[in-house]
Amino acid sequence: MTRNSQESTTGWMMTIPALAVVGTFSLYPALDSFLLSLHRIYLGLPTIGQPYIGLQNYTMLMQDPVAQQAFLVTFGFVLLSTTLEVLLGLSIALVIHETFSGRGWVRAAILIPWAIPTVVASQMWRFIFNDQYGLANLLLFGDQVSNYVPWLASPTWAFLAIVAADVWKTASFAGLLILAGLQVIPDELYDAARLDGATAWQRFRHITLPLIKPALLIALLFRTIDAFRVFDLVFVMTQGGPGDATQVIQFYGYKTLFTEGQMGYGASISIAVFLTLLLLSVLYVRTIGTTLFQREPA
Amino acid sequence: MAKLDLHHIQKQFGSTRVLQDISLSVSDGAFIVLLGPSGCGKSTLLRIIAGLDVQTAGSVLIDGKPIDHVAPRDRDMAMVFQQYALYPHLTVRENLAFGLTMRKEPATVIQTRIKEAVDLLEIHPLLDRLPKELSGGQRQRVAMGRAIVRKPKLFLFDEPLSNLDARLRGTMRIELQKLHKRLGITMVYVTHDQIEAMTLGETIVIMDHGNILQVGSSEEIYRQPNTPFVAGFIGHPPMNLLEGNVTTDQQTCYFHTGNLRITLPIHSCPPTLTSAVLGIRPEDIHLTSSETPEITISGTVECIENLGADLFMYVLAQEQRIVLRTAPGQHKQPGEAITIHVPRNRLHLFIDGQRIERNQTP
Repeated sequence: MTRNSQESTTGWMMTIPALAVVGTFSLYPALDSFLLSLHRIYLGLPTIGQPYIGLQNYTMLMQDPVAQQAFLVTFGFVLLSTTLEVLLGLSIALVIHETFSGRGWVRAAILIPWAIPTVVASQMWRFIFNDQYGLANLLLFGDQVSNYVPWLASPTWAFLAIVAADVWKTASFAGLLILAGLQVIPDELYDAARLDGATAWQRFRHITLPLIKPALLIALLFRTIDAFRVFDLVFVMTQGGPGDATQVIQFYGYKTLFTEGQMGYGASISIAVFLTLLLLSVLYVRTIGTTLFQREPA
Repeated sequence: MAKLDLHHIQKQFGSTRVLQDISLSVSDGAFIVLLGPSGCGKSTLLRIIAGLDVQTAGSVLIDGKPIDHVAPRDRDMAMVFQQYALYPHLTVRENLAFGLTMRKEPATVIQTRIKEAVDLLEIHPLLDRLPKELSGGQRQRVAMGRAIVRKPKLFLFDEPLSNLDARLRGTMRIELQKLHKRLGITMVYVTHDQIEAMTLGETIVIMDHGNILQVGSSEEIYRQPNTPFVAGFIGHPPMNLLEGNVTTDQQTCYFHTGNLRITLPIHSCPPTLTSAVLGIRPEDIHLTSSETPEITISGTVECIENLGADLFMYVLAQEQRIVLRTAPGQHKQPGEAITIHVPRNRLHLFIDGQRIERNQTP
């Protein structure tokens, strides 16, 4: 055996465990979901068998008003929560980038929400927005019980409640990514800008903002993809209600699959989500990879 | 154009005092160099002048007026940084315009100023490039240009040449001198490089441990260093500093180290065994005797360094190492015995860390 082929064999041997994990837990389920989506399968009706129906599930999905509504809710959720998260994350990053006494504690405190499991956090927020004993009502109205708002029973408030919970939980993650961007800006640039006559706002607008753009985009990318997959918040806090007001696409997919037992149709929803995210990721990576990094420091 | 005065500047970071008590006067249009080893406080002093750091005590005055409460942006000073500090996301043109744009100068003024600076520094082909597309020397020019377009009262330089290679540094030194002549703006220049200081500075300020040790022209500092530190810091190779004691014998005062005893030409002698330092510049040592009154020291050659034009010979004498500078061809080989001659009027004597002039009472 030549040395080269020996090296390549060793290389493959060392890669196999990782490939096996990815294959078993990512590739195979995705492929299997796709195969499922090409069949008509009702868990409750084993008698009809599992006929192959081509892309019928997908044409059905296109015409399904509930699915369309769910996509709409999801996009609304992604848009609102990501925007707020990046803005809040930026503020957090700017604050903890400054040197002040107790900064270490503040940094740790800010990361706590991110470290809490989502289901636990969701449960907490469900309590907070409870119409009778929730903290939100208590803080806003005190003992004026007659004014208490049933937050999670109102379509608008319920939607805003899950947005609030998501922002609370993940803004610090966005902040952390942006902080990393802030920390690589040399102090000398700010010194130069101060002598050049830039006010604090001008320094932020003309130095900080352009230089953290890559970090902002990465935060945006991560948060968009993550927000699009929102499930546990909705599952715990609202179960998609009231009505379909907070029914996000992942939750609709879950219901179709596990409550209604429509394995084929549910799988097609999953694949639709998968394709949307793939498209989003490619778009972001393209944007970040080409035009926007062109003018950044090497 | 401005006169700069520093009144008793002190600076403390926590419990560390980095500037002890600095007073200095820089006349209008002067080129002054703050020279010292790293950590001596020179950069901190520059940042205090710029307003980027605030002094613990003391006052900075421009044309006689204190500016301690004036923000950096309103001090009308421009600074060139060691790492250039060019805005990486802006083109050279935008970098040059930045200060003027921030101050909302009219576009025509900005155009004219940029053109002047670009012509002066010959950086026309670089205008539309980003800093990362420039070489070190080009970045240095742009950084200088960014200061020039502002037409400031005061130019501050923080080790601006230390990131350039030796050849480019030489070129930039000459350009800086020309620039100063042309603009006539007061310049304060910080460096740890004695060659930069000697060639650039009309006035050199030597600093160490947060103190000013000596202020003077390069000639003065070279000929009459105030302290052993200044003596050892200026000159290459550094001045030989022989450590010894003062002894008295029948009204005559001697410097004593090992077997070496040198009569000191001073009026009244300090108490016997006062420690003293005798300084001898390597270039003042001769291998042959001359007419002038001189001292002779014998020793052995330890090693030689031949630089082509110069040759440094290290001699072991009286348990001390003495380096001397001579022309190649005159040297001896390592291990050979040697006698060196130093004119008496070229000896530097320091007692209690202070220079003692000939016939001066210490």
